[in-house]
Amino acid sequence: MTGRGVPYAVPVGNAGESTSGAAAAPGRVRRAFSDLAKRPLRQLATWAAGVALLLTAPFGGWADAAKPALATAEAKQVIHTGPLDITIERISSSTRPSKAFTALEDGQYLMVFGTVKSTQPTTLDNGELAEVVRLVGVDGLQKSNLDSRPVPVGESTTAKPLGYYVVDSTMMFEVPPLMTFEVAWVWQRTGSVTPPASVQVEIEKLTFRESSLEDSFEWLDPAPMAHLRLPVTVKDPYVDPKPAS
Amino acid sequence: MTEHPGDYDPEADIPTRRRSDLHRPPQPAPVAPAAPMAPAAGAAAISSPTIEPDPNAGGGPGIPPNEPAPRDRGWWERNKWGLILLPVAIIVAVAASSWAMVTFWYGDGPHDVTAAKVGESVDFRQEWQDVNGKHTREVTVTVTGIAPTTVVENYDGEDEEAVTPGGTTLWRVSMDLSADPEQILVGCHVDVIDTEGREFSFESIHIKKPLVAKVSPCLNAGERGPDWKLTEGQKPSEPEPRPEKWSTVADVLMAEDSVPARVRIWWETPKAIEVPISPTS
Amino acid sequence: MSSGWRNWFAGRGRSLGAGALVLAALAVGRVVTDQLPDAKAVGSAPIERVAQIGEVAHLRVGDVKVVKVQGGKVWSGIVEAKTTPGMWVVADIEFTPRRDEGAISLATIRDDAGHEWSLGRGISTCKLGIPGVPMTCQVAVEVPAKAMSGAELVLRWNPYDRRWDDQAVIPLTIDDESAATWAKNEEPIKIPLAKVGR
Repeated sequence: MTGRGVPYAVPVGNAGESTSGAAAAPGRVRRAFSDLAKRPLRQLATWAAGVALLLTAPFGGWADAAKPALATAEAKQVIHTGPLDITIERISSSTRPSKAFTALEDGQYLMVFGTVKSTQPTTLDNGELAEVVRLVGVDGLQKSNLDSRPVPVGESTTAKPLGYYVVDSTMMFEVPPLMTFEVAWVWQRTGSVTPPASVQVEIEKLTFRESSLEDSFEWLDPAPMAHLRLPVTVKDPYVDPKPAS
Repeated sequence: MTEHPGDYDPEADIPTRRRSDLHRPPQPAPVAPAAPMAPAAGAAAISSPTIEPDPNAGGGPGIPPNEPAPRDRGWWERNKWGLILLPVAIIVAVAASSWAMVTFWYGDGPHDVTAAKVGESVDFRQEWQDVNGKHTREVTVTVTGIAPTTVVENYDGEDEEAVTPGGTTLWRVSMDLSADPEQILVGCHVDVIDTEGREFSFESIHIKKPLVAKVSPCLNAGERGPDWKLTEGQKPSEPEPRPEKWSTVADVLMAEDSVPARVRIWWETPKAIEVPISPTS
Repeated sequence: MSSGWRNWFAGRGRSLGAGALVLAALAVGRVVTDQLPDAKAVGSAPIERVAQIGEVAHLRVGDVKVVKVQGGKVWSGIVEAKTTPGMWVVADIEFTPRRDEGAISLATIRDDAGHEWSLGRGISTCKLGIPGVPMTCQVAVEVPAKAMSGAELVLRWNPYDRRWDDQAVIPLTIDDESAATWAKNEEPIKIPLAKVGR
């Protein structure tokens, strides 16, 4: 059986194929374009998104986010950390600040004095007071009042202070609303009986967001927002009054 | 530019299947159309493009010969196994998500209870550990009775006239215990539960007199036996040898309108001994 | 050419339309969810039992009655004395625990403007009682030294989880007169250990 008599189907639409070289290029582009247009929408959308992402490169889309520069605060200036408006006033050091403290033999207490006022309508009870102030570049700070391991000088901002209400030397963890408290943030420093001459204080800001652990909103993600350097005043230790003889 | 007909669907090449397709028996192979490109004339002799069911053989997969269209299996039949396994799956799901109960609730209270009767001795056995390692606590306990009392056994093991807050009554629980003298039995607790379900513990912070009451509710003064080691730096205490068998009392402060119903003896939750009891006096 | 574009869209009309509808539904859904109240928060809110001073509030953990309310600048306990930039509100309480861990470990004062002052540096001595035996105890809370509208004292079992449990609410009167008297009171208010028993 030969092909004689068999109708030969000619595909329609080959008109675009021309033999002339000059007209070939736009014809090829048009064909490529129409091939592209025939693709399913999902594919087109994905390719478009990929191309757009690549195109952000020359415009800095792939560069690291810049860290904001730390502002320098002044003593007694009100700093808005988020949950608390604080001021930092002065720094003291003592081996026994008051009767409420036990005397330290091989170190001292470093105390940053200031004021706090809550910006919230209900008592802040999630440790915000201890989060907003940290010390930079100080060696031998105790990690927290529950963990007496000294922190290396490069990580001194991980040392958490204990808050005190200055007027009666009582510990303070929560900050009630609508009142301004004179407070001291206190760190224990061991390893050197000589306190530093001056200390860099770093103020952290907190963000109010939904906690991923609990379904509630909390002040989280402490991040440095300002710093200031203050001289350290050495105070004489408290001495128990001698019993009357 | 090549034009294509308006009803061209670029998504047509992406197959979609419907769930009902899974339940329908496979369709017979589509009848091949008489294609315009098919050879004419001489082709008819080679093969017929149409398929007709052979009376003797299956004309296509899944179609039984010469039978009417298959009856649709009922919903119940189709889902029989699913329904049977559904309660099993529910039970497994609930059990698997109850880890919080096991982790928190079960170990937090006396939930592994050995019941006993008054006068009946019960062998209590529990694994525990301290700084020195793992131990097995083995002790036999017999609760012999409960009665109101006006005296409290003090630190030295002597009964002393008690002074307690107004509105309370003291109840004395009597027990017999026996254990190997090397068994560490410090840290035991005795609770009395009343008919209203209120729980009262052996403690002495509310007892004004004697100033220092008996230390342990199940050990006698001076007969504590070996001590446990809770911390690394714990200094060893004065040895107090303990006999193999001993009787002791626990003086428990309860509300004055309480009627005792149960006595509970335990060292560490969740294991405990509970003895239903009524006043014997 | 333009009919080519129209054809292009016509061919994909179903997909584009579906995509647009999904986006619209998501947007509307987000708006609706944000506007509606949270059922879980409403359902698990604490149950309030209001009682006046001198009345008993029957809580799950026991019966509590506020006998007297006073205020001052300083309170002194057996361990330490505390002052405040505002003033201390001290309530004398009779509490009978109903069960073995019954206690009043949280006392707060709230006003009708949405403020709430929690225990913080304050104290509650209404703990470690005997079930069925009444105890006399106190709570102290620090608040600003000025009049407070709609002041209420809230007493509850524990501060850690306020859902699903009940609490006593005692209306207080903190007007200009009482605030002025209390803020000037420098005499330390004594807060001894709780007294258990009749």
